Amino acid sequence: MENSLIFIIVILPLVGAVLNGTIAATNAYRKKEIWGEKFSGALAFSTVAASFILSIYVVFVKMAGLESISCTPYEWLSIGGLKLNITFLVDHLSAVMLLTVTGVSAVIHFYSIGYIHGDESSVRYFSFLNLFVFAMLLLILGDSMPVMFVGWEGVGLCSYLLIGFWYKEDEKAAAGKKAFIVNRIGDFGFLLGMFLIFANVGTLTISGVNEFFHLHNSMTFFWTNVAGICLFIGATGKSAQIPLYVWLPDAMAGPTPVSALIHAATMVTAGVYMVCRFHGLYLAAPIAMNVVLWVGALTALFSATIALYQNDIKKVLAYSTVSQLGFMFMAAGAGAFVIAIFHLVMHAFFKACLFLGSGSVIHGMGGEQDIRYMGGLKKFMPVTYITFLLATLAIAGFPPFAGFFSKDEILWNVFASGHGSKIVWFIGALAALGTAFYMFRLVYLTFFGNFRGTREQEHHLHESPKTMTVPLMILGGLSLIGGWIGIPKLLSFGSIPNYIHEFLEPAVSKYGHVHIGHYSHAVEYGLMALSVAIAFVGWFIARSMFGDLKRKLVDPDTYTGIPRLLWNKYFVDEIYMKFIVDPIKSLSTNIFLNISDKKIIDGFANGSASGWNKVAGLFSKLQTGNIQAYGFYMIFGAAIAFIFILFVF
Amino acid sequence: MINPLGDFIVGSGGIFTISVVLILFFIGVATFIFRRTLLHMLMGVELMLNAVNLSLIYFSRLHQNLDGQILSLMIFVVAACEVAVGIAIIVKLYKRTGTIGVETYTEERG
Amino acid sequence: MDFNILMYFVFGVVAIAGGLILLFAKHPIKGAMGLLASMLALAGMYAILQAHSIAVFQVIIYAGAIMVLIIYFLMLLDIKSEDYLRSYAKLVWTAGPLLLLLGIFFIYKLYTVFQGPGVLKDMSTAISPAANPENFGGIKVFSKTLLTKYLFAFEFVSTLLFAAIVAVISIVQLDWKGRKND
Repeated sequence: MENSLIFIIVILPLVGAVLNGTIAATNAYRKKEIWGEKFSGALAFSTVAASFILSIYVVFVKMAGLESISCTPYEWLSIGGLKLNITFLVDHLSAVMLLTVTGVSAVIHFYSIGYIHGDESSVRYFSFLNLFVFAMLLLILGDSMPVMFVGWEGVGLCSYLLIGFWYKEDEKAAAGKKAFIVNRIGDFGFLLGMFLIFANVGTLTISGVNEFFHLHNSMTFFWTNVAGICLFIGATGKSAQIPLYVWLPDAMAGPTPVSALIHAATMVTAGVYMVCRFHGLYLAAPIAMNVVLWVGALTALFSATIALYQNDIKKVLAYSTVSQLGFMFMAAGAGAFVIAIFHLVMHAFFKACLFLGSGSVIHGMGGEQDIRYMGGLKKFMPVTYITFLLATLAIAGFPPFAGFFSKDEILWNVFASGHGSKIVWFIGALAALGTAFYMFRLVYLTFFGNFRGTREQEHHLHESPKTMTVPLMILGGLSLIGGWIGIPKLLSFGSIPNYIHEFLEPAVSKYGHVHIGHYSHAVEYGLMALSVAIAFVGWFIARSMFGDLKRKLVDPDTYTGIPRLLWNKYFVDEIYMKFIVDPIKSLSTNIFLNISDKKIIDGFANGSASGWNKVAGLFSKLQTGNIQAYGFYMIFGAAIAFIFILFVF
Repeated sequence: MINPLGDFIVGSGGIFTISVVLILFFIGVATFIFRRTLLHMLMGVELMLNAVNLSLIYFSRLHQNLDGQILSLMIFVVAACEVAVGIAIIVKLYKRTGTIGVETYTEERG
Repeated sequence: MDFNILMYFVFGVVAIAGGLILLFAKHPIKGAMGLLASMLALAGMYAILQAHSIAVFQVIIYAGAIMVLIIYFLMLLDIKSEDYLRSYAKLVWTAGPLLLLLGIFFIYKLYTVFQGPGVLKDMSTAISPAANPENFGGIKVFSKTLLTKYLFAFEFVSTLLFAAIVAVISIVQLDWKGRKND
């Protein structure tokens, strides 16, 4: 009986989405609002909140002591050797994700009610938001790769729908398309990985796949590496790593709560989750793990450098997300899956807080997003300022805030693990330095100093309504204390248990071990101190550069050299356009459109139609209108039939 | 009364009878198709019906079964009704168009 | 040869000849006369085949009513002989040979069926012609069968006749006093 609760958890957001979608369609059809945005907002929020409460119940009450519970609402198909059911599995790993996703989603839904107020298609917004939560839950809880893939695609779809929410503006619609298409490229990798796994393992359920690696312990095959890399390509698409990260900065065209939910807390973490889910595969594929490690590290540093020079508040946060995801993949690549998930949860808290805070800032600024025109907002928007600051302290890695524990553990594991490397540690440390710097740059430019905007904007500045500030406070508080579920033994000297470690460790260490090098505790403490020092140094540099109260605006088009490179995001978009997109476009137009579509296929269709036309013309000559001819046809036909039946058979 | 035909029925009599049936039937078809008057068409139909009647009677005699003759009577009745109605229609058409040639009633198509 | 068999052949030939006259005669009345002759010959064949009642019905109904009706209307509608000569080229030259071919094929097959070890040959032993009851086809036996075994059919064709009457009247559009509304 309790197992069907899982089904209810998953299906509730879908119900909300369908209902809201019907309401939106009815409103559009009748051209008037029958059920207003308050109702749909409340409906959307309540479904997700109910899912969250049920998740708490399921995880802490029903699952106490159990390794996992599952629920199979539907037997999907049984073809040949493949037997698939739609099964939802809640084990410790997916429990953590479940709570994070539903909890943060609930908070953001509440925030959205205030944010989207007054928009003409707010009902559609809530419908898509709920649909997204449903797809994400499918992804997390699916026990087999196809179900996960359905969720994978579903979140990609909802990402497109929500990024391009204001589709009437061309560039926003284009951003949505870009997100979907780049995602799709990654999905191709995921599919290839899935096929490889099925061909070699014979089953597609997650537990089945991991069991396979449990049985063939400590053996590695060539195909595991290829499959791991293919799956990781899917993860680069979904979780915005090199080379498929280009959609995430553009995705800031969507409403800010969307950025908070999808592109900070949940969807982009799907790649990390997937890698951790398949830890059996990855531990048996050292080359793939190495790829994950290095790509994560390089992405972390790369996007941190880009964020140094961005002026749009949301773009800074977007690149920061890419960078933090790089950190998570670094952890996964080093074999520290528990820490990757830990950082994922922490990141969900502080990044969502940052995005919602930026939404509040933009709302107060009347739509302005350029930080060069902000300044001194802390006296106008105190709650936003404080929560933003808390989240920034968390992301920079100051103890005892949330980000410190996870980021420090990541760096430690990268340093010490058998799968890690010191060079990667160094890259990570540089990225952490960059993170601290650009985040505090953002804070100083936005909240300190004199206001650099226009007169009307200054009059308009106000703190956001309660529906927006309460979520900020919740998330800000979580940024403060959230890390305390994972205090390492070293700091607490064994007195406070490391909850997250104990909870997750059994889920991810069943199928393979990671060899941690033996270093003395001194080295560990030293690295921890170094992490704190990095955070301080970053803050200090930012304060010295941007902390002074009189700051002039610099026009970024006058940049030269390295600043110009960074401001233009290393020209990656332009490179892609020139070397990938345009050739494909010209190939499509010249060959596929003109030749094969117009000439061959249309020619065939029209040709066969006109051929049949001629044949029909011949037959129509039989219709003489002369009844005696018809009589003859009848007699003749009957005679032929008679002959045929009697004398041939 | 002694059976008049005897063995002849089964052997060459059968061939002859059925040949007559076939030939009469095809002549009826030919009359129906090739003559350009509505009344000729009607007469062709009658000839066809008669041919079939002959066949029925022959086989009823062959199997010593009266069913064929009963059916033949029914065909008579049907033929009579059909001629009556057909004549009525032809008369109406003649009153309308003044001719009973078939070209008038052909709608050019195809 | 038995007289009956000879007459049978003669009647058969007359029947075919009548049909041919119908097909080829220019004047429709001549054609109708041919048809009449054919029907009377058929009546004779029925009689030799011991379907005496049917032979009588043939003469009375077919030759005596139906053909009379047709000849009435041929004379009434005052058809000049073959105003309707047109070139039938297309139809005749396609359909004619086909019909001829069909006919010849059927007759050939007929011959082989009758001669071969087929159904009809086997039947000959089952029926002994000598066991022919003398009243087979006479009016007594015929009407007895008609009115007992096929009573329903008999009654049913009466409705058919009725329908034909109604149809004719409605086509001709008589009012109930018997006058025509033209």
